Amino acid sequence: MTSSLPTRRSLLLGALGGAAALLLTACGSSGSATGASSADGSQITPSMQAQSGPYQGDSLGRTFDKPAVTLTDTSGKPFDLVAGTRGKAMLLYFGYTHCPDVCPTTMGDIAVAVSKLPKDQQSKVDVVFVTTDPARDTPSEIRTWLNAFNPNFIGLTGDIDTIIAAAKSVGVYVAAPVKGQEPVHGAQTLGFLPADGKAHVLYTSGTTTAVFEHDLPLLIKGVTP
Amino acid sequence: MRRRASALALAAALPLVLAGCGSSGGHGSADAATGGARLSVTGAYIPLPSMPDMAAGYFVLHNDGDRAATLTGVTSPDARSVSMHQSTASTMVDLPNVQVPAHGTVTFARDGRHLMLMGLHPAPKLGARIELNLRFEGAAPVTVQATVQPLTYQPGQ
Repeated sequence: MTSSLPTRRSLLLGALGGAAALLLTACGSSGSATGASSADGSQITPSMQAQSGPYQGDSLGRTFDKPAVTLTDTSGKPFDLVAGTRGKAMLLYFGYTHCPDVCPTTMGDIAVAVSKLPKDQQSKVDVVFVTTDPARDTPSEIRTWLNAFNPNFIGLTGDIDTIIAAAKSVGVYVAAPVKGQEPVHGAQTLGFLPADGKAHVLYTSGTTTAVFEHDLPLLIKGVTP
Repeated sequence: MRRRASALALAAALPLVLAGCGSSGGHGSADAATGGARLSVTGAYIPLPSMPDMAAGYFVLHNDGDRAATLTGVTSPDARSVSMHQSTASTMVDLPNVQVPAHGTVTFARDGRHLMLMGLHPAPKLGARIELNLRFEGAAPVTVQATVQPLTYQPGQ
């Protein structure tokens, strides 16, 4: 993925000319946010400002509140997402366990980055995985799946309509699984800051471990983009 | 036993293919005697799946020949089914076939084209070799041993 980006970007730059150069650079990695929309209907896109900022992920250019939902954790207990992760940085991803490529790749890249943080920092970030296929992903299956990455990752399930609404509130497109079709996973991971509990940074599918490694200490420190 | 039997059958039928496979993991090749497509596979691996019933497979397909070929399907004696997929932003779609241009390379990699292996038996273990049989239109089949790598393995790192 990473190696193809410069090519695509330079092609775009060539086509659009010098004036667009700063803008495209600021738009960051893969710009594909197809189908993603926020609660108010606006498209979720990286910041269009021509500045890079401290993060390697894409600055949202706005913020999203942490979804105010209570879901079920992998021990089967209710989990209030706002209260349960208060005061910590958080990465939020919507996906499903029977997903061969993007979901394990995303969680794996995050897991490697988290494992490289100093121990005291690791406890200051919550990685939250919300299933988009709750009919199939039981709490114990989610636990087994997450344990392959990091036993401290939080796995949540619940009513699919609640999950869809929670995803939509942070600009992530999720749809109810349709029989005979592959379920949908979020096209992006959101980075929340510890102090305000709001999402400020966006990581599209294909974001590398190196980017998470770079950004996690900033999120933990509460640096605003 | 079943696996050994099929390997013997292949050995009898396709000595060239097996010779091309060699003993080192992740490499396989076939030289189609009839056409100009020359397919080989490098870097085949399977991340140790987090769920035992499903895994992804990745590799790089090379065509050193003068004619294009089409990858029409993949099977494995160790998997109930193998399908070819393309990941999109939020889901994945079936790939019925994949064109490999003359003197071209096609990469199956994370967040892109990948194999989905269902019902692997026995359950994959780190370092194990899983046989993949690639069928082509316009070229002879290629057999390759994919190595089971750590879940977070990234080639070249």
